[in-house]
Amino acid sequence: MAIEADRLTVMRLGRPVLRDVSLRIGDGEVVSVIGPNGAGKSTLMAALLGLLPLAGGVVRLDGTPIDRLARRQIARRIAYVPQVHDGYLGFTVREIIEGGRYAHLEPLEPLSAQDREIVTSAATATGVDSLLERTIDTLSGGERQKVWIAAALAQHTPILFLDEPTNALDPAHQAELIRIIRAFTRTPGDASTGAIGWFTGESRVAGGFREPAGGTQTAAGGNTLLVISHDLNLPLAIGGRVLALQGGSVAFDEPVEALLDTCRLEALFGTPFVLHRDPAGRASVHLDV
Amino acid sequence: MSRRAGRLYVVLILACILVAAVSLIVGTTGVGLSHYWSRARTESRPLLDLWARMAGLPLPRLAMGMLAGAALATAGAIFQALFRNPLASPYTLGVSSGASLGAAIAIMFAGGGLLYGLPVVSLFAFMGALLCVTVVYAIAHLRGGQSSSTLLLAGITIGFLCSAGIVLVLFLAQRQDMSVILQWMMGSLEILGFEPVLEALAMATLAGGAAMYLHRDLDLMMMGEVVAASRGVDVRRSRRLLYFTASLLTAGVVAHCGPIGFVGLLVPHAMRFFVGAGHQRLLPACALAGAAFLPLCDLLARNAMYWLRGEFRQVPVGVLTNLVGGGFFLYLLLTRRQERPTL
Repeated sequence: MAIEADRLTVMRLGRPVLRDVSLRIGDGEVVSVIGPNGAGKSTLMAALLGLLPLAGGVVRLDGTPIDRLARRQIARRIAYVPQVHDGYLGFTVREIIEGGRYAHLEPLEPLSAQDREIVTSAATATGVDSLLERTIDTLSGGERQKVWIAAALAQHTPILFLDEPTNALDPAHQAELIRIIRAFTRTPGDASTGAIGWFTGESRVAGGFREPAGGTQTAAGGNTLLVISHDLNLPLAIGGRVLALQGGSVAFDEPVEALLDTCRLEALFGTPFVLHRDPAGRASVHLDV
Repeated sequence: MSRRAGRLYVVLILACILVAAVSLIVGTTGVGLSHYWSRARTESRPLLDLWARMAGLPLPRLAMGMLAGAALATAGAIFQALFRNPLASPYTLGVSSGASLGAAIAIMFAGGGLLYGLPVVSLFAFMGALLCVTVVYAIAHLRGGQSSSTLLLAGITIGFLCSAGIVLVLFLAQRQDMSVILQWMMGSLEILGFEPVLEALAMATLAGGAAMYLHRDLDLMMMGEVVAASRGVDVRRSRRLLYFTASLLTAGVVAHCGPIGFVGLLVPHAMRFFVGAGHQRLLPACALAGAAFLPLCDLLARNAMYWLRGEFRQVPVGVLTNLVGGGFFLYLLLTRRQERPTL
């Protein structure tokens, strides 16, 4: 079991934002979190990362309570792309992506050839390799998002957290993002996904890093993904499970096919949906307006 | 290291050497190297005598200028990373007001004088700065200490309180003490002997080393604290360390020289333009550029009245750095392209 959350409660300004949320994410699983605004999706993600004080419950990463792990140890297991970035925009794309290597380096240790290769591969996988020397304030919103994802990929973790990754992306960037996500979640070394060929370069992970107990890249099951999305067709496109949050509690936690039940979606979001099937049999859900 | 950064370092080192040489040759209000040599050459051991004369005032002043410039510029770069804001300065958190209040109290009650071999004013200024910094940190910590913005607010608040204290001391002080306090607050590199330089050097070496050790933490924290934490940075620990590191760098300088403004703002800003925002290259560049910039300002300031009007009065270096810095930022403000539409 990669991540277990047991009866999580998180308070903010005296009000519970999450109430008794329990969740299990196995190695190689893909889980999408959906729910209306304010349902606690981003809070759940931050709590699972150990970034928030808990009012109750416990988060375990590979069986260890997350508050007993150093940030560096967590960072070797989970990479995270938050929804908003409030930092200085004068860094180059290369500097941002190189930041992903932090947890694998000692403070004064220079980047190795292998680190540089991983950085380049992450940039190539997300299609930002031509932007490496640009500063991010010169990039569009979609390009910036891909840079942050590249940095998370360069962290080279078996688990990836994405908070509304398709937010503010145009359709072409959304399609690209879905391809990147699929490449990440597929079995490492799958020849059909050229984009993640670099993920097979496991020699250093196995040989050089001090991984926490039980924590190396899963060989067979692919990588683990937790993604928050307002776009209900993103979970349908990437498969796996869907966890619906409502008012800080779990409304349902089922395979993505649950999204095809428009009555449930209406109950969750408070607005009607319609189901659409294309001639090839692929289903999608849309607002009934 | 990139070629570009390497070339910049060479240029900056040459600039330091050039500024140092010109500064010693030109000297102060007509009293330069040739003046000292003309006095020393008649002695039995002219070179030794020349050294003794230079080591009294010109050399410590130059050394302190280089060190103070390097320390203030480095501290500025650190604070800017911590607050993710290129306009933060070593004085944003009230270090200068704390030091000034300490100095003002020392001047009012103790005048000059030494305590355990240290100048009382420097000692009080240093303690004032550190006290201020510690109170700011404690307040932010009590408020949860979760974000740098709490730190910023606490710093500005304490800065105001210290300013009020300074005004009160000025009000209560004798007229001659008042002018000494004001003079101190203008910032000056006039120091006697190498002792203050060695003290400041020890602190700067320690603090600069710590900052270089944490250069990746600085990068990531400037990209965003949540991002930094998710990359593996122990944000609280690094923030605390860097905060006190930068404060120590600043306090060590301010205690001896008074609050010399804008070096910590101007130099990192300019260096980012040349080497980018990454701190592995930025910190050494800031230290070198600061070490060239401040002695240059001091050279111009102390000779300005002499060159322009033949007077022997020296303009405090803080006045010049503030003028240059203010002008530079006005220029930036007026020419920088807008990132967001304005209403």
